[in-house]
Amino acid sequence: MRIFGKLLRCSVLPILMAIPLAASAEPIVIGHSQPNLGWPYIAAFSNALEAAAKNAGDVEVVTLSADGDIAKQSTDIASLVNRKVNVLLVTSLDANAVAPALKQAHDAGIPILAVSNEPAKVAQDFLAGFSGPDDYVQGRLAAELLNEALAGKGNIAIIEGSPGQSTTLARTQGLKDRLAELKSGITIIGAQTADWNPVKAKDVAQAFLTAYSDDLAGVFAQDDNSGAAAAEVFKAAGRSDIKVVGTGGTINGLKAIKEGLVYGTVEQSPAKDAEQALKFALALAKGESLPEKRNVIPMAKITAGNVDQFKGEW
Amino acid sequence: MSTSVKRRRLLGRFISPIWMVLIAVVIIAAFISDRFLSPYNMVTVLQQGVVTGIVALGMTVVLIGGQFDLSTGAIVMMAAVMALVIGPSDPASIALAIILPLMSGAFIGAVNGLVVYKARANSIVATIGMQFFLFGAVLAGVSGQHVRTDNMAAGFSGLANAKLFGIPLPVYLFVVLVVVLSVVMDRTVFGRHVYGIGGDEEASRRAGIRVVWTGTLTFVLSGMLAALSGIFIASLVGNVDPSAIGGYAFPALTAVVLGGTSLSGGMGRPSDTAAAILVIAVINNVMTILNYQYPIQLLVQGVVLAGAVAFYSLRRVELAP
Repeated sequence: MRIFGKLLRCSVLPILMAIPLAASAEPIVIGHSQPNLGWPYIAAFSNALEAAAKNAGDVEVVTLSADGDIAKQSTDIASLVNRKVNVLLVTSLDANAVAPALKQAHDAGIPILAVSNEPAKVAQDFLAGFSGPDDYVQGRLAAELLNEALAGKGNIAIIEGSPGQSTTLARTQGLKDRLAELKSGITIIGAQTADWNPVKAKDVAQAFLTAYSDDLAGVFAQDDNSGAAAAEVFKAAGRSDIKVVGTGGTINGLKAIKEGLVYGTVEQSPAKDAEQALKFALALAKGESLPEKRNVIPMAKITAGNVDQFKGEW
Repeated sequence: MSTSVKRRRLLGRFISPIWMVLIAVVIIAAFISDRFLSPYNMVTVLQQGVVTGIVALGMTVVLIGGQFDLSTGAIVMMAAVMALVIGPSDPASIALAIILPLMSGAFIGAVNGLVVYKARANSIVATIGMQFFLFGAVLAGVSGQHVRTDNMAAGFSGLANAKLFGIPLPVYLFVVLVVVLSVVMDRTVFGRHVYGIGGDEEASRRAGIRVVWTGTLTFVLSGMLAALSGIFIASLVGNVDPSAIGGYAFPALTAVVLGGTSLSGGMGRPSDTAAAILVIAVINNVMTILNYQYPIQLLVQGVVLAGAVAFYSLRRVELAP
């Protein structure tokens, strides 16, 4: 009997041990913690990610929305860790506040891919890498567009997003740095917030006209809706000569370019963002590493010349 | 009561302190920026206040009744989204894009009013709850995406953009609303009852005032005005990120308080709220013209608001019988 028992154990053990291997045929679970499903880009990215995962097959995406609440993002990440997801995707709501939660996930041995919104430096050690658009690069590309539109000279003003947001700060900094590198004669003479709200963007555009009148040659609006709204103000005031550059490559932004309202915008494609994020997430789940720590998605400058090549995804 | 106080109270019936503040900030603004008084900028200032101002008028009436309506920001967003989703491209859809949001605003106001006055729920909590519900419902309904109308009829975009004698239509409508609401609050039974309820709800109940009916109407009014503001946003920009236009409740409440409406109800005037809206619009405008950055703008607004509230509470102590 004892021998039989040993035999049994010998034959059962390899089978038992094989179970975890067999379990790898179960779907790969990607946990995605994102800041707010109510934000158009985030919603479009999340939908694109789930669609891409469906096409890939055998991949399950669990998406949790923090609804704009920093504390909820931390608990969301904790519950994804408890679910033992194979890989964690995080679009951070606040670049610094997310760090402790990322440390916990890292300590639990879950590979983390930061997507879309990049966490701050303190959190970088916990990350396997970053994949997504880069707000700083968008600001740089906007600088190139304005420099080209204004032939390298004139005064511009900025219609900014919400004050203090990393998106706002990076887009402004990118613009300034690239203008300096280009040795452009363009001067930034004003910057005011419109909170991503086109209604406020119109107020700001009108105030710019009052403040700078003929001195104003161009405007960088940090989102397409604000850009289109400002351009409408300039047109109504008989100042269609003011060149407006937005960013986002949204349906509204492309339409404004086609109508000749807006000079240009910068592409930020949710589909490209999601495809690259999924590719890297699957690689991390299989224990592979990423080609680079930071993997910025391709972002194109869009003007009337090439606007027809873009369909506008959001 | 001394005669001097009585006289001041009489004078106060015609010129509220907030109108003197308005005159003062206009003079100061004209001094620090020579461009402030240009006709184009005057129109900008008037126009700038309208969206928040319409919301604030409704909240003023609710607050005179002693309650808060913090769901207004969400109603603004809901109405704008509804109007754009309906897509006002021909006369029939234009009518629908105006009537449906207004009716929805009225319905939501009625629910708020009944929850507050019939079920006796705390209005801050109840209307914040309504705000969450509406945000959730709208954002789920549009999957968090931008909402737009591509072929908006000129008749609809004209609502907010058309001008008469160089002044946009919403400005005229705002003035009409202020006058009508002032008359309603000052000269009608409804108005007197709202002041009564805000002053002492129990006493009003005992005096036979239909508190639930009157109080609920204040919320219906507030809901409809917030919806009207949303319709103007839809007409003004034609394309919105819904999450970016839900924040009007707090700026509107700021104006209501700045205008001197008592936070405990029973006191306040729609015309004073209008003056406060203009004070805020002038301050924001002149600081934007001078390119003062956001932290400074916030700081100045804070000082003005805190100063006003301190002034009002001191004055109430002085005028107390």
